Amino acid sequence: MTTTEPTSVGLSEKAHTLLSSMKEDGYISELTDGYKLAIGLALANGMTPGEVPAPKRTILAVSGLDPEQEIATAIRSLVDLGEGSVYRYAERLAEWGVMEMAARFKSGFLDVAALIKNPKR
Amino acid sequence: MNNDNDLALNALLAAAIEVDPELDLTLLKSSYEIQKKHQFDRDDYREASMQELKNLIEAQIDLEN
Amino acid sequence: MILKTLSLQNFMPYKGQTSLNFPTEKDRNVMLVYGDNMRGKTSLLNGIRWAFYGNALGRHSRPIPLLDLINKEAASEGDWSMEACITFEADGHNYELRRRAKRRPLVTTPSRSEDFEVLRALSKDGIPLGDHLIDAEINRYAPEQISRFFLFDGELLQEYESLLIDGSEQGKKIKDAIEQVLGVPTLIRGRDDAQTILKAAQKLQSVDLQRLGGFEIQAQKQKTLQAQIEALEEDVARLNGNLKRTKEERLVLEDFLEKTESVYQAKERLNAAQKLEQANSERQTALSIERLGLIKDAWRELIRPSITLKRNEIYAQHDALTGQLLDRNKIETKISQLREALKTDTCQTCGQALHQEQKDVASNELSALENELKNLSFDMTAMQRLSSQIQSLDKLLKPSEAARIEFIDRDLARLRIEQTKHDNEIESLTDLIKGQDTAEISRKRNLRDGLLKEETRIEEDIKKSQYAIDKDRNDLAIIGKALENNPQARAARSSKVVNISSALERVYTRSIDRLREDLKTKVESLASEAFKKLTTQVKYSGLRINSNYGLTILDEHNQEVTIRSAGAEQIVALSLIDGLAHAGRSPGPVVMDTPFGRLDPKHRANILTYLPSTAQQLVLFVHEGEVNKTTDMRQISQKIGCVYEIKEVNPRHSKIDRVTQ
Repeated sequence: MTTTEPTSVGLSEKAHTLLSSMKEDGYISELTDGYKLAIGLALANGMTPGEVPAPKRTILAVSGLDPEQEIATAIRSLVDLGEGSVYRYAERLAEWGVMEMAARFKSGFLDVAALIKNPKR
Repeated sequence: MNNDNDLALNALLAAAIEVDPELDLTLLKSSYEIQKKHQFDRDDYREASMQELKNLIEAQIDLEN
Repeated sequence: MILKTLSLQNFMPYKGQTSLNFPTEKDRNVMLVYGDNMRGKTSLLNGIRWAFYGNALGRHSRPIPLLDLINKEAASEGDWSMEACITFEADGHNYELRRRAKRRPLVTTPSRSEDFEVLRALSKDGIPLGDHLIDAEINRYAPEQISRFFLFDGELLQEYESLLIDGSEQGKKIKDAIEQVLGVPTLIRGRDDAQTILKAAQKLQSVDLQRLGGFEIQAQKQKTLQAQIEALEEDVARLNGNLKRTKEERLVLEDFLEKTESVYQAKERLNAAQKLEQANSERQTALSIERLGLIKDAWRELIRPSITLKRNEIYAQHDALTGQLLDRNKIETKISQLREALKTDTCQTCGQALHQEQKDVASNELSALENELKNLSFDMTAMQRLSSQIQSLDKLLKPSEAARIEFIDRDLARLRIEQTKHDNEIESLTDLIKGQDTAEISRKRNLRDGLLKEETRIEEDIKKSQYAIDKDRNDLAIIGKALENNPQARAARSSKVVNISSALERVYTRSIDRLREDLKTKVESLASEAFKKLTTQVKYSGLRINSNYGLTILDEHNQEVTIRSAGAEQIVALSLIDGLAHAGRSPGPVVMDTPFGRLDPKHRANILTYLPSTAQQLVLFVHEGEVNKTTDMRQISQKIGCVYEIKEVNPRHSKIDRVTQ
């Protein structure tokens, strides 16, 4: 592998605000939980997300987010990254996922059970 | 108040036959009349009926003597 | 006895002068008094009661203090005088009974009942009777002890139900009142008087026997037993005093608790709701924490389908490679076998020498297989890579509990709904008990329970003492019997008194039980007759009486009907009253206050047809909701002598007007 992987990942300001309020409202315990959920949602929808809009905010260390590299494994299995960075891709997936969750649950309650049952809209 | 007194008197006479057939029935009836007369006396007037009954008994003993 | 007139002055809600005339014609012997609740119907009843006996009764037959009887409006205007006057005819004589209360001379503003003096006067055919004769004269026609059966308060009907409960306070009072009506106390007092005389005579007898000589032992035994009995009787009197005081104290508390019962119940419900709310809250917290934990793994569930597909794909590839590997191994094994065969010129299967032909075949096969092997390439690296991928994906696919989130969400939703219910209940209950001292109510409750226990204990002690008294009396009777058979002892006067009074005591004692048995049979039969006339249910065959004069209804198979409506209770109670009226007292006036409260039109019709025949005068106090003026009154319109209506002038002043029919 020639690509250098980043040691931290982030989100756009907007997505970060949304994720933070999910935590404040008690729907997730840690930002990590929401971040992973967002990645999972994006992967389940088979999205090819665009770049994270600027300004980007760094929020999580990769070692904290994916200590056993399960997320990396999942992304690599489902997506043909080529020489691309798996965690940069993860950022884009997370960005899409957070915006998608915010759009789906405008009323505020993060209905994870509904997401699991019907990940695709 | 005749009805209930007949019942009470009848019960008394029947009890006499059952418990002490030798008791003088005239004496018994007279004792009953005393009670009937005083039946609604207030509790602090109870002496009256008791005294009359005592006199009745004493009179009976004098008669037998 | 026929009531003629009632006049009241400043009595309860009747400010100033109020009078009414009772119906006196034989055929028109019913008087109706209409009035809404709280206007003054029961006060009229109390007016009659106060005129006769100088007392008035409130709820649960508790006496109303004199101060509370005087009309409040008159009192506020400085008029503290109150009077009740009743005229009646009995045994051919005309009576006027007047009772008057007025402020004592040195009292400006009375603040308690003792600030009044009460005077009474009774005249017979215009001639005043001495005060010491008044009670006896009233007792001839309207003894107070049985007044509850002719001054008949509708509340009595509810109290009557307690007759069915053995040992209840009210039940005992009513039972005593019933027995009073039926003459039982006459016999009880006969027994008591005989006992008193017997005791005194036995004491004298002991003294006489000692003087006679030869009977010292019996005399001593008699003295000892008499002393024991006296001491025990003192004990019993003292215990009865304690019991009375304890009961009174408890009844005051019962009153308070009855008034505050709803508050107490509300507090209990509030405590329960708060506990439930607390448990609910804790459960929600626990579930929420569990949920947050499960969300950590929820991302796996989202990708599970995709990863499963991917894994299956990779596994298929791995499978294919594995197949290739197996094929290669087969060929390699065969090549090895052929090479060995050619080298040794021996068949590897059967071990025989190979002919040249067979060697040629083997050689050709070997070449072919070697060519095949050359073309069969196998990528071990790829296989290892695929195995590793499968391992990683299997790790991702390990089962997680995140699927439980759905069930937790459902539970939480349910708990939230329940919580709202609890919160609403808590709010309304808190409002209800605002301002109430619930701690005080609990304290009084405990106090009341303690007093109940104390009463039971005292009653037990009384029983024990009574038992000891009976035993000693028995022993005395045995001695008496022995002395009876002795001519010397028999001769003494005191012994004769003992014999006669002892016999009287035994006979009266037995007669009490006999009378009770006879009465029950008679009352049962009379009440059943009345009941059949009053009830609308033709299948009922009659009534059965219990030891408390409680009555149960019998169906057509003579089985007890256990479930009764409130209306049925009233009918049964009225049947009992009527049965008693025929068994006990001579027909006199009956004054009934709201007897129809719980009855349907059919029952009302039966009662209105039947009641007037049960008494010489019937006075009915009713409120408009109880009877229908047109339909119900049609039943007895021929028997109505007069109709009155109570009207409210203001909350402290009512008046009665005669209504022309």
